[in-house]
Amino acid sequence: MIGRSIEDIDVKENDYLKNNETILSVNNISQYGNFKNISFDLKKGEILGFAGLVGAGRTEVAKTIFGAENFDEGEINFKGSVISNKSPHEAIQKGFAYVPEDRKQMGIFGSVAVEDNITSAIPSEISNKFGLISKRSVSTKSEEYINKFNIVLTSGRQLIQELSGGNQQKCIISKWLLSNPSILILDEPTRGVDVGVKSEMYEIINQLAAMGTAIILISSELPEILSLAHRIVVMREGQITKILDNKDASQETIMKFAISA
Amino acid sequence: MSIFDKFLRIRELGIFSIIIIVVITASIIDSRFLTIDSWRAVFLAIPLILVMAMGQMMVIICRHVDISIGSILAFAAITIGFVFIHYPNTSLLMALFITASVGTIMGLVNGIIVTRFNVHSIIVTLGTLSLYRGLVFIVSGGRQIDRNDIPVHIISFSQTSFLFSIPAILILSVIIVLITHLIMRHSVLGREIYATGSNPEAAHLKGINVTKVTLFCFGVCGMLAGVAGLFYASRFGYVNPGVTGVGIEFIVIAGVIIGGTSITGGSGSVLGTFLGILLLGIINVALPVLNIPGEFQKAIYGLIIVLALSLDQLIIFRMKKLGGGANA
Repeated sequence: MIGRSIEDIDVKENDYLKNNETILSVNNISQYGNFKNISFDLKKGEILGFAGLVGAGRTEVAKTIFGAENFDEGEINFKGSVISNKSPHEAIQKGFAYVPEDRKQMGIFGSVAVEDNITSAIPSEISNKFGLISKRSVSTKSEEYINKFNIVLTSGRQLIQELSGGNQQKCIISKWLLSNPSILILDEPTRGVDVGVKSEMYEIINQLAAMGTAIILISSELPEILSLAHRIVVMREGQITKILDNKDASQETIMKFAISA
Repeated sequence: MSIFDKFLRIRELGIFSIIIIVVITASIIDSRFLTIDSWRAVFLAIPLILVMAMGQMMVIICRHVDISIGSILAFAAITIGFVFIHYPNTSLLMALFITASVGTIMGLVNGIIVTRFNVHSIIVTLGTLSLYRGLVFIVSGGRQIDRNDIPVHIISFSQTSFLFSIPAILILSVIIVLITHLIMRHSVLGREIYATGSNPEAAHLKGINVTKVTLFCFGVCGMLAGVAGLFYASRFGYVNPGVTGVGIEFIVIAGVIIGGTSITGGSGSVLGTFLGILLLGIINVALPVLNIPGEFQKAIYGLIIVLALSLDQLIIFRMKKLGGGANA
Protein backbone atom coordinates (compact mmCIF):
# COMPACT_ATOMS: atom_id res chain seq x y z
CA MET A 1 0.00 0.00 0.00
CA ILE A 2 2.82 2.42 0.81
CA GLY A 3 5.35 0.82 -1.48
CA ARG A 4 7.15 -1.26 1.10
CA SER A 5 6.56 -3.12 4.29
CA ILE A 6 7.25 -1.39 7.58
CA GLU A 7 8.68 -4.62 8.97
CA ASP A 8 11.69 -4.13 6.68
CA ILE A 9 13.15 -1.45 8.86
CA ASP A 10 15.95 -2.77 11.02
CA VAL A 11 17.80 -1.22 13.90
CA LYS A 12 20.38 1.16 12.48
CA GLU A 13 23.81 1.48 13.98
CA ASN A 14 25.45 4.89 13.79
CA ASP A 15 28.84 6.50 14.37
CA TYR A 16 27.86 8.26 17.56
CA LEU A 17 26.95 4.97 19.22
CA LYS A 18 30.49 3.66 18.74
CA ASN A 19 31.85 6.60 20.77
CA ASN A 20 29.81 5.32 23.70
CA GLU A 21 29.32 8.80 25.11
CA THR A 22 26.78 8.85 27.94
CA ILE A 23 24.71 12.04 27.90
CA LEU A 24 22.08 11.26 30.51
CA SER A 25 22.36 8.97 33.44
CA VAL A 26 19.43 8.42 35.75
CA ASN A 27 20.29 7.00 39.19
CA ASN A 28 17.68 5.41 41.40
CA ILE A 29 14.99 8.03 41.00
CA SER A 30 11.68 7.40 42.72
CA GLN A 31 8.34 9.13 42.78
CA TYR A 32 6.19 7.84 45.60
CA GLY A 33 3.19 5.95 44.32
CA ASN A 34 4.26 5.98 40.68
CA PHE A 35 7.73 4.52 40.21
CA LYS A 36 10.81 3.60 42.22
CA ASN A 37 14.53 2.96 41.78
CA ILE A 38 14.66 3.84 38.13
CA SER A 39 18.25 3.75 36.78
CA PHE A 40 19.45 3.80 33.22
CA ASP A 41 22.04 5.45 30.97
CA LEU A 42 21.38 7.11 27.66
CA LYS A 43 24.11 7.55 25.06
CA LYS A 44 24.47 10.02 22.25
CA GLY A 45 22.91 8.64 19.09
CA GLU A 46 21.07 5.95 20.97
CA ILE A 47 17.42 5.08 20.72
CA LEU A 48 16.36 3.71 24.09
CA GLY A 49 13.03 1.94 23.95
CA PHE A 50 10.68 1.85 26.93
CA ALA A 51 8.37 -1.12 26.84
CA GLY A 52 5.78 -2.24 29.33
CA LEU A 53 2.08 -2.36 29.90
CA VAL A 54 0.03 0.81 30.06
CA GLY A 55 0.27 2.08 33.64
CA ALA A 56 3.76 0.70 34.22
CA GLY A 57 4.98 4.25 34.94
CA ARG A 58 6.81 4.96 31.70
CA THR A 59 5.10 8.29 31.00
CA GLU A 60 5.64 9.42 34.58
CA VAL A 61 9.37 8.71 34.30
CA ALA A 62 9.53 10.63 31.03
CA LYS A 63 7.63 13.59 32.44
CA THR A 64 9.87 13.61 35.51
CA ILE A 65 13.04 13.74 33.42
CA PHE A 66 11.45 16.60 31.47
CA GLY A 67 10.67 18.52 34.66
CA ALA A 68 6.90 18.38 34.31
CA GLU A 69 6.71 16.26 37.47
CA ASN A 70 8.92 16.11 40.57
CA PHE A 71 10.79 13.12 41.94
CA ASP A 72 11.34 12.29 45.59
CA GLU A 73 14.63 10.40 45.60
CA GLY A 74 17.63 9.80 43.41
CA GLU A 75 19.53 11.99 40.97
CA ILE A 76 19.77 12.74 37.29
CA ASN A 77 23.13 13.41 35.62
CA PHE A 78 23.16 15.32 32.38
CA LYS A 79 26.44 15.76 30.50
CA GLY A 80 28.35 14.92 33.67
CA SER A 81 26.63 17.21 36.16
CA VAL A 82 23.69 16.65 38.48
CA ILE A 83 20.59 18.49 37.34
CA SER A 84 17.08 18.90 38.61
CA ASN A 85 14.58 20.25 36.14
CA LYS A 86 12.05 22.22 38.16
CA SER A 87 9.91 23.03 35.13
CA PRO A 88 9.68 22.13 31.45
CA HIS A 89 11.03 25.59 30.74
CA GLU A 90 14.33 24.73 32.47
CA ALA A 91 14.54 21.39 30.70
CA ILE A 92 13.99 23.00 27.30
CA GLN A 93 16.79 25.47 28.00
CA LYS A 94 19.13 22.52 28.59
CA GLY A 95 18.14 20.84 25.35
CA PHE A 96 15.39 18.43 26.36
CA ALA A 97 12.30 17.93 24.24
CA TYR A 98 9.15 15.96 25.02
CA VAL A 99 6.51 14.82 22.55
CA PRO A 100 3.58 13.85 24.79
CA GLU A 101 1.44 10.77 24.31
CA ASP A 102 -1.88 12.57 24.16
CA ARG A 103 -1.57 14.83 21.16
CA LYS A 104 -4.84 16.66 21.51
CA GLN A 105 -4.65 17.11 25.27
CA MET A 106 -0.99 17.98 25.64
CA GLY A 107 0.60 18.57 22.27
CA ILE A 108 -1.15 20.99 19.99
CA PHE A 109 -2.64 24.45 20.26
CA GLY A 110 -5.73 23.60 18.22
CA SER A 111 -7.08 27.07 17.61
CA VAL A 112 -3.69 28.41 16.55
CA ALA A 113 -2.19 28.37 13.03
CA VAL A 114 0.14 25.55 11.93
CA GLU A 115 3.09 27.93 11.47
CA ASP A 116 2.69 29.33 14.96
CA ASN A 117 2.44 25.84 16.43
CA ILE A 118 5.63 24.71 14.71
CA THR A 119 7.63 27.74 15.79
CA SER A 120 6.21 27.90 19.30
CA ALA A 121 9.20 26.25 21.00
CA ILE A 122 11.75 28.74 19.69
CA PRO A 123 10.36 32.17 20.65
CA SER A 124 13.80 33.77 20.80
CA GLU A 125 14.68 32.79 17.24
CA ILE A 126 11.62 34.33 15.63
CA SER A 127 11.52 37.61 17.50
CA ASN A 128 13.70 40.67 17.96
CA LYS A 129 14.98 42.02 21.25
CA PHE A 130 11.66 43.77 21.95
CA GLY A 131 9.80 40.47 21.76
CA LEU A 132 8.17 41.38 18.46
CA ILE A 133 7.74 38.52 16.03
CA SER A 134 9.10 38.47 12.49
CA LYS A 135 6.41 36.92 10.28
CA ARG A 136 9.02 36.09 7.68
CA SER A 137 11.18 33.95 9.93
CA VAL A 138 8.03 32.21 11.23
CA SER A 139 7.08 31.14 7.72
CA THR A 140 10.58 30.29 6.49
CA LYS A 141 11.37 28.22 9.56
CA SER A 142 8.08 26.35 9.51
CA GLU A 143 8.11 25.88 5.74
CA GLU A 144 11.44 24.07 5.98
CA TYR A 145 9.85 21.34 8.07
CA ILE A 146 6.50 21.38 6.26
CA ASN A 147 8.42 20.46 3.10
CA LYS A 148 10.87 18.12 4.79
CA PHE A 149 8.15 16.04 6.43
CA ASN A 150 5.56 16.39 3.66
CA ILE A 151 3.00 17.90 5.99
CA VAL A 152 -0.23 18.09 4.00
CA LEU A 153 -2.02 21.43 4.39
CA THR A 154 -3.51 24.27 2.36
CA SER A 155 -1.47 27.06 3.94
CA GLY A 156 0.75 27.67 6.93
CA ARG A 157 -1.97 29.88 8.37
CA GLN A 158 -4.42 26.98 8.51
CA LEU A 159 -5.50 26.01 12.02
CA ILE A 160 -3.69 22.89 13.23
CA GLN A 161 -6.93 21.30 14.45
CA GLU A 162 -8.04 20.99 10.83
CA LEU A 163 -5.11 18.68 9.96
CA SER A 164 -5.18 14.89 10.19
CA GLY A 165 -3.68 13.18 13.23
CA GLY A 166 -0.52 12.12 11.42
CA ASN A 167 0.10 15.60 10.10
CA GLN A 168 -0.52 17.09 13.53
CA GLN A 169 2.04 14.68 14.96
CA LYS A 170 4.57 15.70 12.31
CA CYS A 171 3.99 19.33 13.29
CA ILE A 172 4.66 18.55 16.95
CA ILE A 173 7.87 16.72 16.08
CA SER A 174 8.91 19.59 13.78
CA LYS A 175 8.32 21.98 16.65
CA TRP A 176 10.80 20.15 18.85
CA LEU A 177 13.34 19.52 16.11
CA LEU A 178 13.49 23.27 15.47
CA SER A 179 14.79 23.64 19.02
CA ASN A 180 17.70 21.26 18.24
CA PRO A 181 17.27 19.04 21.28
CA SER A 182 20.09 16.85 22.55
CA ILE A 183 17.59 14.58 24.28
CA LEU A 184 14.28 13.83 22.61
CA ILE A 185 11.59 11.99 24.52
CA LEU A 186 8.91 10.47 22.32
CA ASP A 187 5.85 9.18 24.15
CA GLU A 188 3.80 6.91 21.90
CA PRO A 189 4.71 8.95 18.81
CA THR A 190 2.82 6.79 16.35
CA ARG A 191 -0.44 6.24 18.19
CA GLY A 192 -3.40 7.03 15.98
CA VAL A 193 -1.21 7.69 12.97
CA ASP A 194 -1.65 5.92 9.61
CA VAL A 195 0.80 3.37 8.26
CA GLY A 196 2.41 5.66 5.71
CA VAL A 197 3.16 8.38 8.23
CA LYS A 198 4.38 5.73 10.66
CA SER A 199 7.17 4.57 8.38
CA GLU A 200 8.07 8.19 7.59
CA MET A 201 8.34 8.78 11.29
CA TYR A 202 10.60 5.76 11.81
CA GLU A 203 12.90 7.20 9.20
CA ILE A 204 12.94 10.57 10.96
CA ILE A 205 13.74 8.92 14.29
CA ASN A 206 16.62 6.97 12.78
CA GLN A 207 17.97 10.08 11.05
CA LEU A 208 17.89 11.99 14.30
CA ALA A 209 19.80 9.30 16.12
CA ALA A 210 22.35 9.28 13.33
CA MET A 211 22.84 13.00 13.92
CA GLY A 212 23.69 12.31 17.56
CA THR A 213 20.37 12.99 19.28
CA ALA A 214 19.71 10.74 22.26
CA ILE A 215 16.18 9.44 22.01
CA ILE A 216 13.87 7.91 24.58
CA LEU A 217 11.11 6.07 22.77
CA ILE A 218 8.09 5.00 24.78
CA SER A 219 5.85 2.70 22.83
CA SER A 220 3.29 0.01 23.44
CA GLU A 221 3.80 -1.43 20.00
CA LEU A 222 6.46 -4.08 20.34
CA PRO A 223 7.33 -4.38 16.62
CA GLU A 224 7.97 -0.64 16.61
CA ILE A 225 10.33 -0.84 19.59
CA LEU A 226 12.06 -3.92 18.21
CA SER A 227 12.71 -2.30 14.85
CA LEU A 228 13.96 1.02 16.25
CA ALA A 229 15.48 0.76 19.71
CA HIS A 230 19.11 -0.17 20.34
CA ARG A 231 18.34 -1.16 23.90
CA ILE A 232 14.98 -1.79 25.50
CA VAL A 233 14.03 -0.91 29.05
CA VAL A 234 11.15 -3.06 30.26
CA MET A 235 9.03 -1.68 33.09
CA ARG A 236 6.45 -3.30 35.29
CA GLU A 237 4.43 -1.66 38.05
CA GLY A 238 6.74 1.31 38.41
CA GLN A 239 10.02 -0.61 38.37
CA ILE A 240 12.53 -1.57 35.73
CA THR A 241 12.47 -5.35 35.40
CA LYS A 242 15.07 -5.71 32.65
CA ILE A 243 17.21 -3.78 30.20
CA LEU A 244 17.61 -5.83 27.04
CA ASP A 245 19.95 -5.40 24.11
CA ASN A 246 18.08 -5.40 20.84
CA LYS A 247 19.76 -8.61 19.68
CA ASP A 248 18.53 -10.47 22.77
CA ALA A 249 15.04 -9.08 22.59
CA SER A 250 11.93 -10.53 21.05
CA GLN A 251 8.26 -9.89 21.63
CA GLU A 252 8.14 -12.93 23.89
CA THR A 253 11.07 -11.91 26.11
CA ILE A 254 9.78 -8.35 26.43
CA MET A 255 6.30 -9.56 27.40
CA LYS A 256 7.81 -11.98 29.88
CA PHE A 257 9.52 -9.15 31.75
CA ALA A 258 6.57 -6.78 31.32
CA ILE A 259 4.12 -9.17 32.93
CA SER A 260 6.15 -11.03 35.58
CA ALA A 261 9.67 -10.53 36.82
CA MET B 1 -5.91 32.27 -3.51
CA SER B 2 -7.33 35.44 -5.07
CA ILE B 3 -7.67 38.65 -3.10
CA PHE B 4 -11.44 38.19 -3.10
CA ASP B 5 -11.06 34.70 -1.67
CA LYS B 6 -8.74 35.97 1.01
CA PHE B 7 -11.23 38.71 1.85
CA LEU B 8 -13.99 36.15 2.26
CA ARG B 9 -11.88 34.22 4.72
CA ILE B 10 -11.36 37.10 7.14
CA ARG B 11 -12.90 36.07 10.43
CA GLU B 12 -14.20 39.56 11.16
CA LEU B 13 -16.21 39.72 7.93
CA GLY B 14 -19.37 38.42 9.61
CA ILE B 15 -19.54 41.07 12.28
CA PHE B 16 -18.59 43.73 9.73
CA SER B 17 -21.52 42.79 7.49
CA ILE B 18 -23.85 42.95 10.48
CA ILE B 19 -22.68 46.48 11.26
CA ILE B 20 -23.35 47.51 7.65
CA ILE B 21 -26.83 45.95 7.80
CA VAL B 22 -27.69 47.75 11.04
CA VAL B 23 -26.42 51.10 9.75
CA ILE B 24 -28.29 50.81 6.44
CA THR B 25 -31.52 49.72 8.13
CA ALA B 26 -31.31 52.54 10.66
CA SER B 27 -30.60 55.10 7.93
CA ILE B 28 -33.54 53.93 5.84
CA ILE B 29 -35.91 54.23 8.80
CA ASP B 30 -34.59 57.65 9.75
CA SER B 31 -31.99 59.49 7.71
CA ARG B 32 -31.04 61.52 10.80
CA PHE B 33 -28.94 58.54 11.82
CA LEU B 34 -26.41 59.31 9.14
CA THR B 35 -25.56 62.76 10.52
CA ILE B 36 -22.16 63.57 11.97
CA ASP B 37 -23.81 64.13 15.35
CA SER B 38 -24.98 60.58 15.83
CA TRP B 39 -21.58 59.21 14.80
CA ARG B 40 -19.98 61.61 17.21
CA ALA B 41 -22.26 60.18 19.87
CA VAL B 42 -21.18 56.64 18.94
CA PHE B 43 -17.50 57.44 19.14
CA LEU B 44 -17.88 59.33 22.40
CA ALA B 45 -19.79 56.44 23.95
CA ILE B 46 -17.40 53.63 23.09
CA PRO B 47 -13.96 54.58 24.53
CA LEU B 48 -14.96 53.50 28.03
CA ILE B 49 -16.26 50.12 26.91
CA LEU B 50 -13.55 49.67 24.28
CA VAL B 51 -10.70 50.08 26.73
CA MET B 52 -12.24 47.60 29.16
CA ALA B 53 -12.94 45.20 26.31
CA MET B 54 -9.24 45.05 25.39
CA GLY B 55 -8.38 43.70 28.84
CA GLN B 56 -11.40 41.42 28.98
CA MET B 57 -10.50 40.02 25.56
CA MET B 58 -7.03 39.04 26.81
CA VAL B 59 -8.54 37.29 29.82
CA ILE B 60 -11.12 35.46 27.69
CA ILE B 61 -8.48 34.38 25.14
CA CYS B 62 -6.53 33.04 28.11
CA ARG B 63 -9.55 30.84 28.94
CA HIS B 64 -10.80 32.87 31.87
CA VAL B 65 -13.34 35.61 32.40
CA ASP B 66 -13.31 38.62 34.70
CA ILE B 67 -16.76 39.77 35.79
CA SER B 68 -15.48 42.03 38.54
CA ILE B 69 -14.41 44.80 36.14
CA GLY B 70 -17.48 46.94 36.84
CA SER B 71 -16.56 47.08 40.51
CA ILE B 72 -12.89 47.70 39.72
CA LEU B 73 -14.00 50.61 37.55
CA ALA B 74 -16.12 51.98 40.39
CA PHE B 75 -13.35 51.58 42.95
CA ALA B 76 -10.78 53.31 40.74
CA ALA B 77 -13.29 56.07 39.98
CA ILE B 78 -14.17 56.65 43.63
CA THR B 79 -10.48 56.61 44.61
CA ILE B 80 -9.56 59.17 42.01
CA GLY B 81 -12.64 61.20 43.02
CA PHE B 82 -11.37 61.46 46.58
CA VAL B 83 -7.90 62.32 45.31
CA PHE B 84 -9.48 65.17 43.34
CA ILE B 85 -11.37 66.42 46.41
CA HIS B 86 -8.15 66.67 48.40
CA TYR B 87 -5.76 67.57 45.58
CA PRO B 88 -7.73 69.33 42.81
CA ASN B 89 -4.49 70.08 40.94
CA THR B 90 -3.71 66.41 40.26
CA SER B 91 -2.59 66.22 36.63
CA LEU B 92 -4.27 63.98 34.08
CA LEU B 93 -1.14 61.84 33.81
CA MET B 94 -0.99 61.38 37.57
CA ALA B 95 -4.70 60.52 37.62
CA LEU B 96 -4.15 57.93 34.89
CA PHE B 97 -1.27 56.46 36.86
CA ILE B 98 -3.31 56.23 40.08
CA THR B 99 -6.37 54.62 38.47
CA ALA B 100 -4.19 52.21 36.46
CA SER B 101 -2.31 51.15 39.60
CA VAL B 102 -5.48 50.64 41.63
CA GLY B 103 -6.96 48.60 38.80
CA THR B 104 -3.80 46.53 38.31
CA ILE B 105 -3.70 45.56 41.98
CA MET B 106 -7.34 44.47 41.97
CA GLY B 107 -6.88 42.58 38.72
CA LEU B 108 -3.80 40.83 40.10
CA VAL B 109 -5.70 39.83 43.23
CA ASN B 110 -8.23 38.08 40.94
CA GLY B 111 -5.40 36.48 39.00
CA ILE B 112 -3.53 35.31 42.09
CA ILE B 113 -6.62 33.64 43.57
CA VAL B 114 -7.37 31.97 40.23
CA THR B 115 -3.83 30.65 39.68
CA ARG B 116 -2.76 29.99 43.27
CA PHE B 117 -5.87 28.27 44.54
CA ASN B 118 -7.03 26.91 41.21
CA VAL B 119 -10.55 28.25 41.59
CA HIS B 120 -12.54 28.89 38.43
CA SER B 121 -12.34 32.53 37.39
CA ILE B 122 -16.14 32.93 37.16
CA ILE B 123 -16.48 32.05 40.83
CA VAL B 124 -13.49 34.13 41.93
CA THR B 125 -14.55 37.25 40.08
CA LEU B 126 -18.19 36.79 41.05
CA GLY B 127 -16.92 37.00 44.61
CA THR B 128 -14.65 39.95 44.03
CA LEU B 129 -17.45 41.69 42.09
CA SER B 130 -19.27 42.02 45.43
CA LEU B 131 -16.10 42.42 47.47
CA TYR B 132 -14.80 45.34 45.42
CA ARG B 133 -18.25 46.93 45.27
CA GLY B 134 -18.38 46.62 49.05
CA LEU B 135 -14.99 48.35 49.28
CA VAL B 136 -16.37 51.18 47.17
CA PHE B 137 -19.12 51.78 49.75
CA ILE B 138 -16.71 51.47 52.67
CA VAL B 139 -14.13 53.85 51.20
CA SER B 140 -16.69 56.42 50.07
CA GLY B 141 -18.96 56.11 53.09
CA GLY B 142 -21.80 56.00 50.59
CA ARG B 143 -20.97 59.51 49.41
CA GLN B 144 -21.22 60.45 45.74
CA ILE B 145 -18.46 62.36 43.92
CA ASP B 146 -20.15 65.35 42.30
CA ARG B 147 -19.50 67.41 39.24
CA ASN B 148 -17.84 70.22 41.21
CA ASP B 149 -15.47 67.75 42.89
CA ILE B 150 -13.93 66.85 39.55
CA PRO B 151 -11.46 69.43 38.21
CA VAL B 152 -12.10 71.14 34.87
CA HIS B 153 -9.03 69.74 33.14
CA ILE B 154 -10.26 66.20 33.84
CA ILE B 155 -13.74 66.95 32.48
CA SER B 156 -12.26 68.53 29.35
CA PHE B 157 -10.23 65.34 28.76
CA SER B 158 -13.37 63.76 27.36
CA GLN B 159 -15.48 66.79 26.43
CA THR B 160 -13.36 69.26 24.50
CA SER B 161 -11.50 68.75 21.29
CA PHE B 162 -7.84 67.85 21.46
CA LEU B 163 -6.96 67.37 17.82
CA PHE B 164 -9.24 67.99 14.79
CA SER B 165 -12.24 68.18 17.14
CA ILE B 166 -11.42 64.71 18.48
CA PRO B 167 -11.33 64.59 22.28
CA ALA B 168 -8.20 63.21 23.97
CA ILE B 169 -10.14 60.33 25.51
CA LEU B 170 -10.74 58.84 22.06
CA ILE B 171 -7.11 59.26 21.02
CA LEU B 172 -5.91 57.57 24.20
CA SER B 173 -8.32 54.68 23.61
CA VAL B 174 -7.05 54.24 20.07
CA ILE B 175 -3.47 54.13 21.37
CA ILE B 176 -4.46 51.47 23.93
CA VAL B 177 -6.17 49.45 21.20
CA LEU B 178 -3.11 49.66 18.94
CA ILE B 179 -0.75 48.59 21.72
CA THR B 180 -3.03 45.65 22.52
CA HIS B 181 -3.00 44.68 18.86
CA LEU B 182 0.80 44.84 18.79
CA ILE B 183 1.04 42.61 21.86
CA MET B 184 -1.54 40.07 20.74
CA ARG B 185 -0.55 39.73 17.09
CA HIS B 186 3.13 40.53 16.90
CA SER B 187 4.78 39.61 20.16
CA VAL B 188 5.97 36.42 21.77
CA LEU B 189 3.91 37.25 24.84
CA GLY B 190 0.78 37.46 22.69
CA ARG B 191 1.42 34.04 21.26
CA GLU B 192 1.93 32.66 24.72
CA ILE B 193 -1.49 34.04 25.67
CA TYR B 194 -3.13 32.34 22.67
CA ALA B 195 -1.21 29.13 23.40
CA THR B 196 -2.21 29.13 27.06
CA GLY B 197 -5.85 29.67 26.19
CA SER B 198 -5.82 27.11 23.42
CA ASN B 199 -4.28 24.33 25.52
CA PRO B 200 -2.93 25.14 28.99
CA GLU B 201 -1.41 21.70 29.50
CA ALA B 202 0.44 21.75 26.20
CA ALA B 203 1.58 25.29 26.96
CA HIS B 204 3.07 24.11 30.26
CA LEU B 205 4.81 21.17 28.57
CA LYS B 206 6.18 23.58 25.99
CA GLY B 207 7.88 25.65 28.66
CA ILE B 208 5.38 28.51 28.92
CA ASN B 209 4.91 29.85 32.43
CA VAL B 210 1.12 29.53 32.41
CA THR B 211 0.75 31.23 35.81
CA LYS B 212 2.69 34.29 34.69
CA VAL B 213 0.73 34.58 31.46
CA THR B 214 -2.59 34.30 33.32
CA LEU B 215 -1.51 36.87 35.90
CA PHE B 216 -0.47 39.22 33.11
CA CYS B 217 -3.92 39.00 31.49
CA PHE B 218 -5.77 39.62 34.76
CA GLY B 219 -3.39 42.46 35.62
CA VAL B 220 -3.92 44.20 32.28
CA CYS B 221 -7.67 43.63 32.50
CA GLY B 222 -7.75 45.26 35.94
CA MET B 223 -5.48 48.07 34.83
CA LEU B 224 -7.71 48.96 31.89
CA ALA B 225 -10.83 48.74 34.06
CA GLY B 226 -9.11 51.18 36.42
CA VAL B 227 -8.31 53.54 33.56
CA ALA B 228 -11.95 53.24 32.48
CA GLY B 229 -12.81 54.50 35.98
CA LEU B 230 -11.05 57.78 35.18
CA PHE B 231 -12.81 57.87 31.81
CA TYR B 232 -16.11 57.48 33.64
CA ALA B 233 -15.41 60.31 36.08
CA SER B 234 -14.32 62.52 33.21
CA ARG B 235 -17.19 61.75 30.89
CA PHE B 236 -20.15 61.62 33.26
CA GLY B 237 -18.86 64.10 35.81
CA TYR B 238 -20.00 62.10 38.83
CA VAL B 239 -19.20 58.83 40.55
CA ASN B 240 -21.96 57.11 42.49
CA PRO B 241 -20.98 54.12 44.63
CA GLY B 242 -24.22 52.30 43.90
CA VAL B 243 -24.55 53.06 40.19
CA THR B 244 -21.13 53.53 38.59
CA GLY B 245 -20.07 50.53 36.57
CA VAL B 246 -22.96 48.29 37.62
CA GLY B 247 -23.73 45.79 34.84
CA ILE B 248 -21.02 47.17 32.57
CA GLU B 249 -19.19 43.82 32.61
CA PHE B 250 -22.00 42.25 30.63
CA ILE B 251 -21.83 44.87 27.90
CA VAL B 252 -18.06 44.41 27.71
CA ILE B 253 -18.21 40.61 27.63
CA ALA B 254 -21.04 40.72 25.07
CA GLY B 255 -18.97 43.00 22.86
CA VAL B 256 -15.91 40.74 23.09
CA ILE B 257 -17.94 37.63 22.27
CA ILE B 258 -19.82 39.30 19.41
CA GLY B 259 -16.41 40.29 18.09
CA GLY B 260 -15.61 36.63 17.55
CA THR B 261 -13.52 35.82 20.62
CA SER B 262 -14.13 32.22 21.55
CA ILE B 263 -15.44 31.83 25.10
CA THR B 264 -13.44 28.58 25.32
CA GLY B 265 -10.21 30.53 24.81
CA GLY B 266 -7.41 30.50 22.30
CA SER B 267 -8.91 32.65 19.59
CA GLY B 268 -10.08 36.18 19.08
CA SER B 269 -8.70 39.43 17.70
CA VAL B 270 -8.45 43.09 18.55
CA LEU B 271 -10.13 44.07 15.28
CA GLY B 272 -13.06 41.76 16.01
CA THR B 273 -13.43 43.09 19.53
CA PHE B 274 -13.34 46.65 18.22
CA LEU B 275 -16.09 45.84 15.71
CA GLY B 276 -18.13 44.08 18.39
CA ILE B 277 -17.98 47.14 20.65
CA LEU B 278 -18.67 49.43 17.68
CA LEU B 279 -21.81 47.44 16.87
CA LEU B 280 -23.08 47.76 20.44
CA GLY B 281 -22.32 51.51 20.35
CA ILE B 282 -24.19 51.96 17.08
CA ILE B 283 -27.24 50.08 18.32
CA ASN B 284 -27.22 52.10 21.53
CA VAL B 285 -27.22 55.39 19.64
CA ALA B 286 -29.58 54.21 16.91
CA LEU B 287 -32.42 53.11 19.21
CA PRO B 288 -33.27 56.57 20.61
CA VAL B 289 -32.72 58.24 17.22
CA LEU B 290 -35.26 55.84 15.70
CA ASN B 291 -37.87 56.96 18.26
CA ILE B 292 -38.17 53.53 19.78
CA PRO B 293 -40.03 53.89 23.08
CA GLY B 294 -37.86 53.63 26.15
CA GLU B 295 -39.45 50.49 27.51
CA PHE B 296 -38.70 48.60 24.29
CA GLN B 297 -35.09 49.70 23.94
CA LYS B 298 -33.52 47.25 26.34
CA ALA B 299 -35.37 44.28 24.84
CA ILE B 300 -34.52 45.29 21.29
CA TYR B 301 -30.89 45.86 22.28
CA GLY B 302 -30.72 42.31 23.62
CA LEU B 303 -32.58 40.91 20.63
CA ILE B 304 -30.10 42.47 18.21
CA ILE B 305 -27.18 41.00 20.20
CA VAL B 306 -28.69 37.51 19.98
CA LEU B 307 -29.41 37.94 16.26
CA ALA B 308 -25.89 39.22 15.63
CA LEU B 309 -24.33 36.23 17.39
CA SER B 310 -26.46 33.75 15.44
CA LEU B 311 -25.84 35.48 12.13
CA ASP B 312 -22.11 35.57 12.81
CA GLN B 313 -22.03 31.83 13.51
CA LEU B 314 -24.05 31.23 10.32
CA ILE B 315 -21.56 33.23 8.27
CA ILE B 316 -18.61 31.31 9.76
CA PHE B 317 -20.35 28.04 9.00
CA ARG B 318 -20.93 29.12 5.39
CA MET B 319 -17.32 30.22 5.04
CA LYS B 320 -16.08 26.88 6.33
CA LYS B 321 -18.25 25.13 3.75
CA LEU B 322 -16.68 27.37 1.14
CA GLY B 323 -13.47 25.53 1.96
CA GLY B 324 -10.26 26.06 3.82
CA GLY B 325 -11.80 27.52 6.92
CA ALA B 326 -11.55 30.99 8.33
CA ASN B 327 -8.24 32.63 8.94
CA ALA B 328 -7.17 32.92 12.52
